[in-house]
Amino acid sequence: MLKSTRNIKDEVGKFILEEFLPKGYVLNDDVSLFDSGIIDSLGVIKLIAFIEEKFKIIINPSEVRIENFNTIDKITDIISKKISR
Amino acid sequence: MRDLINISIILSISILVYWVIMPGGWRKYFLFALSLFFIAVASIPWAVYFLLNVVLAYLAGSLITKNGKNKKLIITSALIWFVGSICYFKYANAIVGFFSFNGMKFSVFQQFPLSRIFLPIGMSYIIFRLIHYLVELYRNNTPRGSFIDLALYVFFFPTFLAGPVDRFQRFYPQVQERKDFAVSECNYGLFRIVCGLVKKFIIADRLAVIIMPVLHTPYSYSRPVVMFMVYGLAIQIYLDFSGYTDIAVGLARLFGYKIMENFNHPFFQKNIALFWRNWHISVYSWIRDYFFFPIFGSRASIFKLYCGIFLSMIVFHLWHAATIGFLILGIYHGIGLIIWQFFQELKKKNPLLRKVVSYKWLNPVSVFITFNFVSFGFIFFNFSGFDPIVILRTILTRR
Repeated sequence: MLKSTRNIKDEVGKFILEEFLPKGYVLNDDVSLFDSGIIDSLGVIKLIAFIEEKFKIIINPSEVRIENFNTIDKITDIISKKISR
Repeated sequence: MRDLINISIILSISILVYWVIMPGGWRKYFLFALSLFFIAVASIPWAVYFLLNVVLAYLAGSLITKNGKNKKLIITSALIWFVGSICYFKYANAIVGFFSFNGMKFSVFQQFPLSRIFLPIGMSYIIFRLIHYLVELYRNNTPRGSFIDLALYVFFFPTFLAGPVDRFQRFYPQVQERKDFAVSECNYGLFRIVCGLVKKFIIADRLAVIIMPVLHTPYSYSRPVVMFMVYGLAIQIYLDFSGYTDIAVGLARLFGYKIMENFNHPFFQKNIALFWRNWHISVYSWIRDYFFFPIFGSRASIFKLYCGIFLSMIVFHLWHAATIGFLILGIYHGIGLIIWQFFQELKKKNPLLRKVVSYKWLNPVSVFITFNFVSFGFIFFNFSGFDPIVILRTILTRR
């Protein structure tokens, strides 16, 4: 379980780095993505589209909230819960 | 002037009573009564109507939290009621007017008492707060609170007229908190009120005196003069809105409440997406959270994303008023955001472009371009009856 959580974090982190940040940027798992301006509301939607495709899960409209996607840790939580169901 | 003096006297007495006489537990009742009093002074029937809506939302909220089985039906019915109410008051006149005066003269519309539909002051904000409360209750994301907690959140007089649309999760703990009077908070509140009054009544209103004559007869002036007045109009609108926010934030502080900020240096942003993150923040984030994300958030294709951006901008602008000017402004900003998003995609694929736009010296240029884009959009705001087409033609054709 620990390993898969790490994998999820790596996959999500890699996507955020490639999609939203310049090369060489170091991203911590607890950095607030929205408050620090790394992603905006459109970025959240792109991130969700990536998560749905990559992890073959469906994010319900009611779950699409900034709070759920504000850090890599929180994103990993929501993905892990969905995968384990 | 006499009104301002009367309001100042009522407020001063209220602050004294609130902090000196009222026991901690009674303060929220006092603040609710004071807020309701201000609304009732404007119109007793509307105060009753608003109160009934809050009762309705509170009952729906109680049913949602207690009745797991039917909560979807309850929230859907409540949302239909609240969205229907705002559409009726805000758009019935515009729709009937459109069908009556554009060659489609249906007899049923001609009989319709157009002039009787008035939008109650503050209604747009009230409905947004109630929808937010119910949706978050439905999502188990907020405490239910008591009826007075909800009523105070909705009617809280500093934010009643012009927002911000604060969030119940932020407001509720402040209602519960037993506060002590703090001189520093009071000073900060007074400072923000003075800032707001200066922005609104000294700078914005005086700017209007200079700007409006030029924008009403732009053909009498040279292109640079008209362009400067267009910039001035943008600054005037910003000072007007943010002045009201300053007054609201300041008034709330006098009663020990911290409400959310609505503007964060919007004219110093590098692109249109950042501008929108920092302009009218509470309403923009409301539309993002309760329109854009739920409808376009999951299983989004690029096309769906662009549709979402476009429609969100139209909803945001038509929320201000149902006029052609606001519709055009919504379309204008929707297209602007889509172009910006398209540019982002282009940047990702083109390393040279990525390198060029990363130069720091380009930042002021980006801010200038964004400010120009936003400023020219504001001529469609058109609250003062000038003709945006004549202004545009003057800028494009005159020297």
